[in-house]
Amino acid sequence: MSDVHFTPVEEELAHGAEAPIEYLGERNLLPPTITMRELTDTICAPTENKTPRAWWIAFGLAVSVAGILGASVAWLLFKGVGVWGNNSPVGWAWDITNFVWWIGIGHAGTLISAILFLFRQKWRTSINRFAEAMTIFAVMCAGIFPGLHTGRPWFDYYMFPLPNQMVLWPQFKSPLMWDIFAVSTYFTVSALFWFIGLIPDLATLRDRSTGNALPQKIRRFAYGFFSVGWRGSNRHWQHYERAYLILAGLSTPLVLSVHSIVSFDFATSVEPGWHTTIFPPYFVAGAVFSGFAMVLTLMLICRAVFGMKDVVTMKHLELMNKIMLTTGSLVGYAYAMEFFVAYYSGNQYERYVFLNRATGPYAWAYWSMIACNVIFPQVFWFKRMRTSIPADVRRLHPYQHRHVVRALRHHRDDAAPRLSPGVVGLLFSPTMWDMGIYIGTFGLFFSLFLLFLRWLPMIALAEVKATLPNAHPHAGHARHDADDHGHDGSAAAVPAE
Amino acid sequence: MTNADGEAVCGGPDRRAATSPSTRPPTPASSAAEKLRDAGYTKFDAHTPYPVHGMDKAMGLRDTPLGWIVLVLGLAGCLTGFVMMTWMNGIDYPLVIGGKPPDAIPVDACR
Amino acid sequence: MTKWHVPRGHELESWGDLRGLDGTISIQQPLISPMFGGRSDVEVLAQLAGERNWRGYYLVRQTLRALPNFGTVGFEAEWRRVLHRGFVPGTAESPRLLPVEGSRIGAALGAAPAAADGFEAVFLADPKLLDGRHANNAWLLELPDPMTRITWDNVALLAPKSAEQLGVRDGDLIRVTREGATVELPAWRLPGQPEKSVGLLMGWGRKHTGRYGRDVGFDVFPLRRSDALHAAPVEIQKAGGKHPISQTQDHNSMEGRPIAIDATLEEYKANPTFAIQRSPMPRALPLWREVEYVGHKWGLVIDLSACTGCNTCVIACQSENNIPTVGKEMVARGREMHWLRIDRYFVGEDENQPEVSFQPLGCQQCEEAPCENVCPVEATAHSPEGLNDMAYNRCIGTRYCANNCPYKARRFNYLNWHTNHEASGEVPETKRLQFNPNVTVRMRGVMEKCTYCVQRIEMARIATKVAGRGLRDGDINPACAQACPAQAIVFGDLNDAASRVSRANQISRHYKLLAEVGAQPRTTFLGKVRNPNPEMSA
Repeated sequence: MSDVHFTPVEEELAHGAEAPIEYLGERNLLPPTITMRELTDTICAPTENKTPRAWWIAFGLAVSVAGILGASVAWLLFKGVGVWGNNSPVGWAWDITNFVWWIGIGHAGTLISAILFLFRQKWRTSINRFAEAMTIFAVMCAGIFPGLHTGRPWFDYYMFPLPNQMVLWPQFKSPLMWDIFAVSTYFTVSALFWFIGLIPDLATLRDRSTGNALPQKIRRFAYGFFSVGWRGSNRHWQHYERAYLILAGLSTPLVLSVHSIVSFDFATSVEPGWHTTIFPPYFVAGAVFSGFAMVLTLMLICRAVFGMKDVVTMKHLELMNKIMLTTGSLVGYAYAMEFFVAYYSGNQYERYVFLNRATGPYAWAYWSMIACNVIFPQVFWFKRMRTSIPADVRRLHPYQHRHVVRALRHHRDDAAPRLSPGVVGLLFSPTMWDMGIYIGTFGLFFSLFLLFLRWLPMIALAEVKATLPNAHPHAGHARHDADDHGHDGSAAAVPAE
Repeated sequence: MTNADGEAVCGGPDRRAATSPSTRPPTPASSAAEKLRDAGYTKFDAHTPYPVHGMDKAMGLRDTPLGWIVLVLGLAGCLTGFVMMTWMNGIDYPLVIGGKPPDAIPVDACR
Repeated sequence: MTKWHVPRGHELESWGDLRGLDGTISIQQPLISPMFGGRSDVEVLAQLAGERNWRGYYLVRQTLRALPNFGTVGFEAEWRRVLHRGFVPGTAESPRLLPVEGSRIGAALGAAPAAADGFEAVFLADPKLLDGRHANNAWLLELPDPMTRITWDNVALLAPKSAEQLGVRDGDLIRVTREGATVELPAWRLPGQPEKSVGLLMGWGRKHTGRYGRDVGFDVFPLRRSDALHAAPVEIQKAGGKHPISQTQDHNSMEGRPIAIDATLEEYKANPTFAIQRSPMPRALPLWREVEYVGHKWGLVIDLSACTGCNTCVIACQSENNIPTVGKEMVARGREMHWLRIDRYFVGEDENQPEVSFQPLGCQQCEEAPCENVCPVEATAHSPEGLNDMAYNRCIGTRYCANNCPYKARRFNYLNWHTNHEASGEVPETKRLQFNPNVTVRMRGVMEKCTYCVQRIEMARIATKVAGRGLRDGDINPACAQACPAQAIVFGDLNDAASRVSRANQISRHYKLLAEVGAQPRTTFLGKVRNPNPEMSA
């Protein structure tokens, strides 16, 4: 860290001394005095310093929790899906709930990295690496569930188009098949996006690993291997930027399509409460909402722990809160619309299901969900709330909880017996193995995340550098900016692309 | 600046930025590249810690063909997927699934 | 306490003779030699009586030998003929008419002790276990009670109003006392149970009966003595505590939905198509060309007017299709495996005088089956004869099909039911002997459901081909249709206009369950017409 003193932006905000604002993408997000070297040092430090004890403790904890996952999965495989609380008619419960939830968590990463990139939101550069890593780990956690929720997971390969002795093929009318392809595409594109963004930063780490000690040699080799010969040449940058743009272009429809297709699992069914056209946009909004909550949680912790307050400033948090307000309200609209459509359809089964949702045995879950997802975010209409850390912290718990509740609600609904009230209106109650596998995925997620924090640059170094005020060609060279970007107005920042 | 191989090596603004944070505007490497380009050099390169805008033009580089490669491969993948699904469900082993035609195209749209 | 136990041979292992309703003598022949050295009742009696030749075979032959006019052509030849026929011709008795003395019946009814203030206990033979003789039969233990839909337990049946007075809810333990004898058992509210009356089901709570029936349910025999075999005055207190109850259906009412559609005789006469009017087919043009089935097109019709909810079809199906039992805890989790279930609904305004409708429900074999669309691996698809087939060895168990089934007719093997829920392990030898060899035994993680007894269809097809003729109506009977004593279930070829099932489909009471979903079920129903005898109503 440097000894240069700069004014924390938080203080500026607190005293009302705002940096001049042109428009959203153009404000100075970072302290104006930070230098490139300071930035490089700050961001590379966690990967180069001695492993802090806190990291070991956290990692040990995370791996132990991941061990719960291992034990739960082993027991599940040995005994069968019956160790979970799933029943008939609740054929899907926490298994698919957790899948939907984790996929949703991943959405914020892609949104930040792709859509905000295409919209030239420069504030994303401080958080995108972080959010992308979260996406990938979340999708990995999500991928566990569809694989394990089947009755005979050792035959899961039947879902892939492989020739087999039964000469049968996958059945492409099934939304589960769409899921397989949507999620694997999403994972591939997200991983590529993340990796391509990492290449220049890995090269920086490689170049900083000087010395002949064995750890340095290993670092040089590993970072060297994965930075695939990056030298920062302008020819590299040219391809790199195009590849990044293409991947952003591909990821953007994926953000919308993945959760839309996940929602098709329900929306294309004939079950009342599931058979709803509002599901795709509603799932996406909900996913972005909960994903942002997750990014914020992780970011608040890392920002405090690793001293990154200058890179991830209160302005970033405020902007993220605005997105949460928007998506929370979108979700609220979807809730209201579901009710209206159930009423307007005149279908007695639909009406029953929705009334049952609000007044039946799961009413507590429903109303706590409404409170957390719709009502609570409304405090972010106030700037003071958007820019206060306590508000962020308070919000986190319910936010993470809500998605569970929401998905559970969907999966529970088929127990509200549509057609044959003859079916037992069974309530779902999770077993210890349901909880074990769910909690265990958190262990896996945080294990991966801690490895990421320790060994990879958690902030996109090259991209942040490009947004620094001193990365700009001034006056005489404004022509290039004008050529490339039309009206950038002030030369406050060179776009990162 | 030229190195032993005859390539021009331009330092990025990093070095200067490190010494004088925000007071002095950096001299962009691109103006040096422009001069080299105008002097007729083609085999030179610029190394920067982040992409510098206008550098492609300043160095006289052609546009990257990456977009076209991706387009062709993407369309090929799309076609392969479509043919695969139609052949598997519609031609190789058609079954009556939900009373629907086995090779219906609308179901291909969602995958 | 007894010190000696005799291994009692099963009736399928023993020789015996019996008389039919008209008195015809018939021969009971064993199907298998005794598996565990069991002896039949007559064999034990013969041994106690000191017979040297006590084997059942010998005893039966002895009995026949003693018949007059038996064996005029030589005993052995006649014996073989009788064995072949199964009965002895010409042994029927001539019927005699006996006068019914109505006054004595009335007196007997009036003799029931009327409870002054307290409750009156009514001792009822259990619909499944009778007096307890079937208490170790897991099939019957898991079979839901026709009225309460309770499995693996018996309860004290109370009128809803009486339960309210006692302050008990379903499953709350009550103490039933009669002259020092006390029984504690869970209360249950049953619409139609008279007030101040408690129905007690006999045959449960046996201490020595085997591994399934031991300590299952509550023994009510301490309250029943020879002075009051059918009803007795009792006192009831709330005992505190709750007993967990496993039900397969907890809805009592159809809540206004057209599920098991019924009408009174007057309504039916005024409007013979009442059923299809309440559950009309959706009016929409098809989005694609519908599949046409040439050759056979199997269908099933269930007449709700005939169904009495006796559960025979359920057990027949369980026996035919190797359906496992899952136990009380798993039923509580909704994991029962019955391919065919009977839904019971209370109908009517008055809780004390409800009508009841029963509706047997298995896979409806939909033409446009929602389950097939969602299976990712083609494990369920239509056969060329339009059956909704399950390929067990292809099924990976996503359970999506069950989620998307409007009728909730699909059952999932959450655990390895046949090996006592263990992940691996041998299926017991006796159980293997019990299996139907023509039906796959399903392992854990596989979805299953009613197949219309496809194995019987194939067997009939082969048999008629061997016999050199085509399939005729009536050649194929699924287990449920075969077992139904009311002949409420009819199976046949819908492409054959003369078949019973096609004719049943022409009946005006005909309707499709949940037609509005558009799945076009092949199993259809005939609406129930009520025509109660006014003299029988209270």
